[in-house]
Amino acid sequence: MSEREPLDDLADRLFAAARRERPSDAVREGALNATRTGKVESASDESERAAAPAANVVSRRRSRRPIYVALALAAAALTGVLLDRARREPPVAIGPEAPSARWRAEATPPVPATPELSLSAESIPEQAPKRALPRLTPHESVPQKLLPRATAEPSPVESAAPPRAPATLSEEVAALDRARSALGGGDASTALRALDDYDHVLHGTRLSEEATLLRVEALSRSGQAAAASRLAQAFIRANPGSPLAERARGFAGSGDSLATRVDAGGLK
Amino acid sequence: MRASPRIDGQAPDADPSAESRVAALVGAHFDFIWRLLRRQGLSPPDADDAAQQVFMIATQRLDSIAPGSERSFLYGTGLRVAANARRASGRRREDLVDELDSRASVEGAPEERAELARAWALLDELLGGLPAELARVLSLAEIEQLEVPEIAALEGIPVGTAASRLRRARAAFREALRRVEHRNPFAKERP
Repeated sequence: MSEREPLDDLADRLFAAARRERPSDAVREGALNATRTGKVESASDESERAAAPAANVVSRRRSRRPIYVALALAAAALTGVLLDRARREPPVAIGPEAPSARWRAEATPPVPATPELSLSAESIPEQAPKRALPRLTPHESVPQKLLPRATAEPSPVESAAPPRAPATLSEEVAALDRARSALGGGDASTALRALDDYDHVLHGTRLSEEATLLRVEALSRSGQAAAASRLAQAFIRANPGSPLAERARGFAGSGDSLATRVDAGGLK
Repeated sequence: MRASPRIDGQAPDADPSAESRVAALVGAHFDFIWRLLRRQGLSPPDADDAAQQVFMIATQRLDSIAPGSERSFLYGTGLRVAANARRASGRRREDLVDELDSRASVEGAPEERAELARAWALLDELLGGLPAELARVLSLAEIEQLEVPEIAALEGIPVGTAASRLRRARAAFREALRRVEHRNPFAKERP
């Protein structure tokens, strides 16, 4: 056995220091409240953030969030007002003597009010949607009948609508639950539709790794073993250190079903 | 049993037993998950957000988490959430270690807090230089002080593999530490 060196003591001290690091009580309490209310909260108080001298991306993003919310709500409200007035009143010329009306006209884009405009803080984007890995496009990997409904010819109203608000975590979880449930029932087509919804309608980001592995299984079960294998290999390349990659590795070459692992709780 | 999807941010079932189970989850595992996220390269504010997200997911899937496997579920979820958070910020794990946040999560004199902050930064740098799977097992063993079988269960690998990884991780960490020994964060500055 090698003799203990000062280096080992230093290592021990570093690890001991890491054990001393823990979240504040306010953060823990915030998380508990969030699980009770079902709504994501600011994990710690804004004033505490302000006291932290190190600026970071999340802090800046969070500090802008109320502005986004206020602007979005104002736009939605003013759009509603304008539409309501347009229905009830003849058009009014907006001149210099009506600055507030001019401001309204500038501030409100010419879009119809839609349910998506009823925004909450939760629906404000926290991050630019990024892909975990190059995903197979529906045309490449999924039979035409499995294409998401979103690919159908949009109605004029839909084409004029603003982009969908970012999905909430609950929506992402629900989409994957639908996919998993369908797979559990042997319905790979429905599972692929749910995953298409996750990717192309919800633009899910938080559970993208899990979604990708579910797609591997769904493709495999729908008889697209080669596509499943390609996707599994791409997943492993993009996430070599992920525990999920480790599980996917066994299926990358064979196109075997992941069903048994899913059923066994391997994919959470 | 399958988790019943709860849509549109609805709260979990107004079931007192579910609520108490969630509270127990938070009480027992929040610090563990938060430290896991930190060691995955997230800054303290990012770890705050990510930890909340992990427990939100757990709450929404409470029905599908078998009793006794809560930590395993949270661990796997934490790793995925951390990976997504890193991708969202457009930076890799090793790029984040320089983002030293001086908001130490511990009480103490300023000198002690500064020392701890330097230690955390150096540790993150060293762990960031290891292959991810080695860094994880080393953190679990040395920081969380878990036994090899527990590590194997969390990582979903055989016990022998976990033991082997831990040996390699310790050797690699020692070697990396030797190269930066001169940056000992606990060394007192000479006048």
